[in-house]
Amino acid sequence: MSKARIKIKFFAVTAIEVGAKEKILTVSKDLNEALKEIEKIINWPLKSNLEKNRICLMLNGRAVKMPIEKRALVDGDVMALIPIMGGG
Amino acid sequence: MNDKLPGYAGKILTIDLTEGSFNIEDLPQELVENYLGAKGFGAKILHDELPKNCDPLSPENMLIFATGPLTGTLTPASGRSVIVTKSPLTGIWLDSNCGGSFGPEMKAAGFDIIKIKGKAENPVVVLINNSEITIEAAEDLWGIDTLTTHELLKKKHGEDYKVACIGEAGEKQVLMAGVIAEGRAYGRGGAGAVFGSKNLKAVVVKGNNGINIDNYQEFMIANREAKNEIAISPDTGGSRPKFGTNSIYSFIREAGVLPVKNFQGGTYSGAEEVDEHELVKELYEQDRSCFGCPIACSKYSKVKKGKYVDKYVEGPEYENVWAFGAHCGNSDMGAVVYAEYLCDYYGIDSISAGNAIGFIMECYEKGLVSKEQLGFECSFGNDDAIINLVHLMGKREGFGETLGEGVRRAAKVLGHDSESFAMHVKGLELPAYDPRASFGMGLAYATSDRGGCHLSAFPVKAEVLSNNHRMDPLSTEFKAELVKNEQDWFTIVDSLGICLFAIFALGPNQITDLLYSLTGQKIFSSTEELMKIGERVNNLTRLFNLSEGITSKDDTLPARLLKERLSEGPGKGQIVPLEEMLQDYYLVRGWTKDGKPTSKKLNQLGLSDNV
Repeated sequence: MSKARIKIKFFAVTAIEVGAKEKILTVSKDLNEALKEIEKIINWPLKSNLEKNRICLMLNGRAVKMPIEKRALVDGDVMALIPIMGGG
Repeated sequence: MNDKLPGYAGKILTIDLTEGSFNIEDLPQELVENYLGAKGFGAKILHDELPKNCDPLSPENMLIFATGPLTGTLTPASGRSVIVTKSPLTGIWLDSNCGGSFGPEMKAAGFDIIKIKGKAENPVVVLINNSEITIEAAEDLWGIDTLTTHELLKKKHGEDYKVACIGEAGEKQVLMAGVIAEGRAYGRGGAGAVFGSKNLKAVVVKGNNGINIDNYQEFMIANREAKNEIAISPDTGGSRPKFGTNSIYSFIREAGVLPVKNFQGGTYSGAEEVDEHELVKELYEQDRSCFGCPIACSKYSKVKKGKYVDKYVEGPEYENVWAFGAHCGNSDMGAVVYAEYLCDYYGIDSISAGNAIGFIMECYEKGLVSKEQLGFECSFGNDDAIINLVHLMGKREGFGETLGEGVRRAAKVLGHDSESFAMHVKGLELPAYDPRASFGMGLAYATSDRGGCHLSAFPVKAEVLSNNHRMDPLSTEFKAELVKNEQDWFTIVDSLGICLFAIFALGPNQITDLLYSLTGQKIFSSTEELMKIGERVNNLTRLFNLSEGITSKDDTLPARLLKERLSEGPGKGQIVPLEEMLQDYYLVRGWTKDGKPTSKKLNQLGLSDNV
């Protein structure tokens, strides 16, 4: 199987822009390929926002380093897309 | 153009409440060059002028209001000012910073610094109308809440006066009492109790003096760039205007950093329903903004349904959604709104109040305090208990008399190892971040000059809230450098008179451009020199704390954070490896292994005469 079924969570303004707090999607196991597919599905400029440092990406509660590391997704992974924020 | 220093009001007002007198003097150039403003000014004055080991609630203690060079200017988010005093809650250094409009008005009245000493025989209000200073009797205001006090003082003197006042909690010298000013608060550490100990109900100020600008054109360009950066930042131009300080709520929970049930962890009924989107939908009605701030992170909220329908507050802030929410196992945001309102009404610090309520809920569940002692049931999630306890602390009645003294003192009264889960550092209750999932925050709490504080340094941003320059939250590597640098930089920001939230968009170079074009002070043209001022101030507050009896043993965390492992989330299984980071920190600071600044460091900073 080259696909993984993962949960993607969207936080703060990212949730508003995407129109959902979370989605469950089946995407390629290769993280870079998966991000391209997710971008198309949610119709939101995910990769450019990452490159411009406007959002950060977490996988299972830990940061994914930029540029995007070569990672393999597995079923049940939880991805989080968070707008860059300060404190409260 | 008059001859006062560009960027500064140019005068220091000293009021002696015992004598009923006042004195006005020029702001010394030496103070400006070495200490910049606001927090820096307060550090120099408190260190030099306060009698060592004085009782914080005695007439000897001082209240120092101070503004910075950017306070009240065209610079965005420049509404900040500070109260510096010796804290009655912690017994050490206290700087309590506030937004709103009091600081800008004080500067417009012509004062960078207002020092208040002594004790009035009866309750008084200090009235400042430019250089006209009056000390008025205020017996008729004693016992009145802060909100009504604002109304009455404005009705009497005029709507254009700005008010900083205490409520019943400050009058009764509740140790966590704050000072409420125009809908905002000098909240932390008990400055309100110091007001009360001096029989000072309020300071009321109005002014119409301008501020000189050294290079008008460059200052305007720097401000335009600053406003643009704030507008395009994903934080200050995106999430924060929409969600206020709660923009981070659900992500902080996702990252495992949101403390639950007095830092025990786990979950509670309704927890998943609380997030920033629900707060916008269910509570927020209007944006509110401090002086000159385009971000408008403050929200006016009104409860639309349920038990607390029609209760309202300017807020609720992230810290209070946590303090009266997750920390107390409560998911009724109506109760959070009402609890925060009551904290403003009585004039108490909502972080300390909420933290203390979570502490007593754990004590109740462990059988260390009974229903008979409290007068009501007090399990986690009991919203009636939250409201009851805020009332009792605000009025200093019943068990509120013990709890309003803070968790350190309450644990001594309750005994049975409750000190191990009394969540404070140096007597100041911890805020809304669990350092077992953000190690740098643990070091920041342990070494903050005012005790358990998230505003002296905020490593959570580098550890979990950012993308580039991100650091592993569960590693100790470079955390000493991170905390030291943030402490020095945040001290600069707190000395400038701008909001810490502005630096989520503005970098050091932009801040330096603003400051140099405004003041023309050569020493302020270099970020390196500015950082040296920040370091100088932090070494001076350290010297102050050492002289008040603090030792390296006090640079620690509650036993829970050092011994009890997190049960879930990204920090599962973790405790804070503090000792390793602390020794690194002392080394990076140029301090001895027992946390004392070395002579070499003091010489470098021009502080060798201050030992």
